[in-house]
Amino acid sequence: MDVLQHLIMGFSVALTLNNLLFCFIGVFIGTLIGVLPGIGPVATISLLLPVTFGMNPVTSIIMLAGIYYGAQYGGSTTSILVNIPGEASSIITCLDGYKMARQGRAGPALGIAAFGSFIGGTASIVGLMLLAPILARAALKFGPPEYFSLMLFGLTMVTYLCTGSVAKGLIMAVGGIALSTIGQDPVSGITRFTLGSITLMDGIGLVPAAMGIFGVGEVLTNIEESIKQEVFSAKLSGLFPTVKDWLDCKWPIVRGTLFGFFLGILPGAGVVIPTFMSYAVEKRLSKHPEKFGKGAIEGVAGPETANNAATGGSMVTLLSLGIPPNVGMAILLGAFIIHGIQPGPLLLTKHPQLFWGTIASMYIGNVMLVVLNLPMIGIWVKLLKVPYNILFPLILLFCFLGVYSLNNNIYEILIMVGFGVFGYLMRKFGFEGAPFLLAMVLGPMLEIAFRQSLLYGDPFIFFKRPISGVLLVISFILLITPLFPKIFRKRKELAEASKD
Amino acid sequence: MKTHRFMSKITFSLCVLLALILFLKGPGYAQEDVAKFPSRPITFIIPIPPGGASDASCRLISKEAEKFLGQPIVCVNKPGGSFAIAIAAIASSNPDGYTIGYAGHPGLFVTPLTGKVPYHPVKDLKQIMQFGYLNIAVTLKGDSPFKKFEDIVAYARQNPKKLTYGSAGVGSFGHLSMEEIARREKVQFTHIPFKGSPETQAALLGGHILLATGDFNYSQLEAGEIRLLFLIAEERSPEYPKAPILKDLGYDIPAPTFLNVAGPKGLHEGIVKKLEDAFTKAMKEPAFVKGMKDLRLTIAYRNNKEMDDYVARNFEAFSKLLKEIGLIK
Repeated sequence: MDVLQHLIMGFSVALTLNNLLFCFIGVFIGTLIGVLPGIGPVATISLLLPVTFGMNPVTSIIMLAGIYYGAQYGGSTTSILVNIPGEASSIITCLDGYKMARQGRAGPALGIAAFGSFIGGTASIVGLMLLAPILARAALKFGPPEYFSLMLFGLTMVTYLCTGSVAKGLIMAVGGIALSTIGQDPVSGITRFTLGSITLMDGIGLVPAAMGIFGVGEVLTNIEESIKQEVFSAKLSGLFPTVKDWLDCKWPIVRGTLFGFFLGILPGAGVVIPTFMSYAVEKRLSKHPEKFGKGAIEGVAGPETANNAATGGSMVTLLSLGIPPNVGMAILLGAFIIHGIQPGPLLLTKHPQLFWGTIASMYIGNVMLVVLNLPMIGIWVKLLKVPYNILFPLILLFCFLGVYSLNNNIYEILIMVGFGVFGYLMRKFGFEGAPFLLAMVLGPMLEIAFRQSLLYGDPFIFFKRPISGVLLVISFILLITPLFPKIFRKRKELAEASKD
Repeated sequence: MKTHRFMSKITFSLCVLLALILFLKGPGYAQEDVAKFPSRPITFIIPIPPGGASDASCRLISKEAEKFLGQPIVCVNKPGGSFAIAIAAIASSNPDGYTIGYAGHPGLFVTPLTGKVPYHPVKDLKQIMQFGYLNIAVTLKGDSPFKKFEDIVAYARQNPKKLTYGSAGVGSFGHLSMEEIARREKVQFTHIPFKGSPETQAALLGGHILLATGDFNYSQLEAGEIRLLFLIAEERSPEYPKAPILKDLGYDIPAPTFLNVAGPKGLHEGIVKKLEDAFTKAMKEPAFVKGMKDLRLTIAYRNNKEMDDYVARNFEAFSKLLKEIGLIK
């Protein structure tokens, strides 16, 4: 088989001592910065780009790619341990991961996150290897109307993210959409609600908002209760997932891989959406949905698998078309360009060593990451034993540094603190952060896709195009299915009433 | 233990006092001798997120200029507000030569006119030099039936509003140029704004728009997937010598798509000269020339006085252009 031959050639490139060393360096750095909240693969890769100037292109790409997918492994660590999303793609892991940590199950949570990441990462590379050109072409079929319907589909999932009152969840979703309008109107360029601030011209960043609501908000809530009381009071039960955990998670991992991989391919969809969707789907399909939000391990397995699968998916678009589907890939593209290589349709023919060498090294990297992350679980878990009154100032410090490291903009720290207060108030009144953040992510994309589509002049364009139409129908069905049991019950009642 | 509490109260007060002193005094920059400049690292502000061709070009030239200045140049990305955040940072910094950056055209000619920014693009900046041009092109799919630009205009005349073109957003040069052309030719294009060049290119390849403006992927070009219709530029590109520019098509629309180095106003003459010299020499370095060739960017030069005039002229030109298109009143 052709692919096998190429893969063997790729491994021969990747298994040289030099490339192995830099692969390890890359995934190691990636894990570290994934753990650190705020600073992410984008900033790190841009810092290390000059270092790679003199290096062999294949080696540089192997290292930089390692940083990127390594960060998706590390991001879950702080989400689980201290409720701070290390990366935007780990926001949803906070929901159940942190609860598991508070119940003494931080080890299994970290473990399943690592394994899920490995499976998702590896499977997505297989997909990349076998299906890249076809998938890339298919992804191109998504135009503005298709994006709109996809985002709408995503929004219908919002209700599945709520553990408490659905009405409150919807209020939060509307709030999220409303806040997402801050910034420049995408079609007319007029600034909305920016109060004259140029920082707000681009809207409220997802990372400051998420770190505020989850990280800072959690700290504020915890210190309101007495500091003496242990935040992590439950006894530590085991460092690894149990057999039951594995059995519970097998389908979430499979579904997470599929979601992550296919959604990661779409330009502009980002790595956040697959994680939220995975969580919502797992909750919907679970036999015990009420456990979600209280420490259900499926709520960690699915999203963590999805975010790693999305890295493979996003490389499909980058390598086959030369179009970066998200910011992380854009900087990787920059790395390619600096070495004189332009990914695109000719990459396979012009630089086969680079393509297959990178793919082979990604397999190796994923293995390295699992080996690296598992023993670290023991160390991370010990971190929780630090008294909270020492831990929380450190948490706040990392949050501040992390947010500043994004854009070197001090006002984003203020935004984060503002959201921290907001997050604290939310918790007091029983509102949830997840629907709010999902709406903040989807809102802008929904709006721009909608308005772009309308520019074509036909208001029914969403129904006339096949992919868009199908997505809309599915969304509609999903919206009304919860009503069916009620309808059947009503009819039964009516039928029984008429019998008398 | 009363002494214990008393001691910790003193310690606390001392800490607060120390913090206040440091905060109020701040890092003091005494007015330096021009001869000693630079005596510490220089910050180069980049107005876009890391990873694009322009970001790479700034890092390339900074790396070469370091050698002639004897101090490291630290590149810092401050994206946002269509370049306004970065340019505001440059304009409001201490005019001691230690804060400079790439003050790109959106933040000079568009954002200040369409919105409020805390700086005046001509009066609050001192241009140091220009080192290149960006690639802003109008591309179409390889198998598109349109062969020349005249075909596009003819099609638009017969099918008003059917000619869809994408751009990297309202106010981007792709948008402004196409709208101005439409106005002069008295035809109607339909503008579909996207968030950036990658999304625009994806939409073009997927057949959702007929034309795309902005940066493009040259691997696609070489593979024949896309074709260059014309370049939104003032000079022919050495990489694509056959591609017409606006002037060739008969439109004298300003296209200042430069890559430059600028600092805040009030920079001492001597410091400007030193910086200009260093970056000018950097432009000739083989590593820079090769890098720009790999990035497919055009190398071009204007010195500090020429740049000041050029920017001032274009600011006037764009005030007029934006009014004509109707983006501002």
